[in-house]
Amino acid sequence: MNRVISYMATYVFWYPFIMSLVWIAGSLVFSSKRATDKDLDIEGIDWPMISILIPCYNEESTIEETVYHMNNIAYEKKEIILVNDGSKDNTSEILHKIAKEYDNVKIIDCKENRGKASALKLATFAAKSEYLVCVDSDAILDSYAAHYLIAHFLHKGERLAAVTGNPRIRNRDTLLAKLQIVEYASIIGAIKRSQRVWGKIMTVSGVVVAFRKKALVEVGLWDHDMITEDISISWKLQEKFWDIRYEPRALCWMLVPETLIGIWKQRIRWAQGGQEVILRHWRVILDYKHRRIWPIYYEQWASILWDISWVVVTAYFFITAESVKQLIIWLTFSSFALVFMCLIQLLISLIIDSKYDKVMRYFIWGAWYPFIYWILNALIVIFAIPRAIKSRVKGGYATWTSPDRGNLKKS
Amino acid sequence: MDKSRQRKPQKKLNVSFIKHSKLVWYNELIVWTLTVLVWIYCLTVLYYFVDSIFNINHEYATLFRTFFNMNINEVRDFIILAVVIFLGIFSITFMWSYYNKIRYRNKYRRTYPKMTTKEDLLELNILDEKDYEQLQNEKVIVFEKNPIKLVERK
Repeated sequence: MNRVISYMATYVFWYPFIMSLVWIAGSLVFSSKRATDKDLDIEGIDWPMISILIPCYNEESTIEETVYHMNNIAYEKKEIILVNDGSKDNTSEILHKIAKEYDNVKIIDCKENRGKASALKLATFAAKSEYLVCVDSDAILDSYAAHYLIAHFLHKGERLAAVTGNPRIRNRDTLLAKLQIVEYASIIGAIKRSQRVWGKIMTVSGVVVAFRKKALVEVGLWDHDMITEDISISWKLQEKFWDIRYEPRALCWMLVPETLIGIWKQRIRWAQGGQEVILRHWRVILDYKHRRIWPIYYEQWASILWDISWVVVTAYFFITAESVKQLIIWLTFSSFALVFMCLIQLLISLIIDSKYDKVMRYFIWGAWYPFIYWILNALIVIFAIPRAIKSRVKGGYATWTSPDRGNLKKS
Repeated sequence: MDKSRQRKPQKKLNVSFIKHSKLVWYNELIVWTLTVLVWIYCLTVLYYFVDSIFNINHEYATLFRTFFNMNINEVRDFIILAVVIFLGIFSITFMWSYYNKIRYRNKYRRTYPKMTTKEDLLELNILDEKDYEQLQNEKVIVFEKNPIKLVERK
């Protein structure tokens, strides 16, 4: 028993330590070789028409503002398709009002709630263009984000299925929001950059992603039975050898949860979505042609194993501790080394990301990360495991609930 | 394809997207107090390693080394190991990136895909042609039931 715990404790230390170095290295290589600081020659390109797809569920408080900003982005040839997926609030009435106000807006008012994947499928059938920019209904695109996304398809993009953008956070006042700013800029951003260097990406960001319709049709569009349609479609596309790219200049401004319950529910969804995908797509490990996605696949399992190990090791030390000293897990060399590594990773990633958004000042809140987020994320993954297994066994529609849009002031 | 900086005005516009939340002063007081405590811990961690790297041997850092049953050389060895691992990972990542660039730079392994047609979409067999035409041609479409058919994944 002691030997098993000892191995697990070693893993609990070395896995995040090594991965932190991997994310730092990946981010630096991406930034030095792939990311460019220059802007596009907008006038020099014949931009194709795009369809902006916005699925809505209980979005009465945000959708008008979203459409207003979406209509004003610099990309000229566009149509906006709004899909109401059986909302229980006044979203339907608001969409009908919006349709009268804007010439380039089409609305699909579906009274039945069948989930985001079904809403996106409907919008795809309604779209007139080959390039679909999918955006969440609380999100605002940077004026040139669509240009940055679409440019990838036009330049050596014959194998390209999707380009995912760089989500930015609009609500920045509470502790949880500030922590998420640090997380999106440094953890999620670093992972996306590194995975792009590796060649495969775990997931596009559902909040802002451009798709080639042909690729979506080839893989049968989104899965209706997976809780996170963005993770699922990413794997389906890459399984068929379509490429996915990450474009950090394509900024998309969104709202994030500001309550523990809100963030808990969101992260349970994410964790469950990731687990559902690796359970469904396990056959990639049997096919040598899919070897480029193996690092992503095994890293997912390694991450789950770490979460389980962390919970077991921590519980074991708490149960068997013989002194108060042994109970203070933050006062060990392992904790010191991991916190040190975490701060370095956050700092480097924030420096890289501050080219796109002034996030450096939020480093002060990054100190919370090893205290709250590691523990919270470990518990979330543990709670998501039975849900993912149940979901795989049971099947059915993955419908959505109203997200937490922060604790905002009325404007 | 790249050109310089027409985006500066956009950065100002982006600032207008920021929303403000309702804050309660006593919550903020607690958050700031705890943040100070968390940073005292983090600064201790940083100083612990800086002290070892530069061989300062300050008593505050020594106190923790004693607590962890370590000496300064062991901490330095650990840092050297971390740097070596990082350099190894960075080199592999850099070479992998370079290898891909060389290998795929001039390869066009596919022609550009053709545009998706109506037939491509209908072949998915998840939507009737009547509903497709309605979705394509009308500006406001209302469905009591979602017309997308449930097809089991193969």
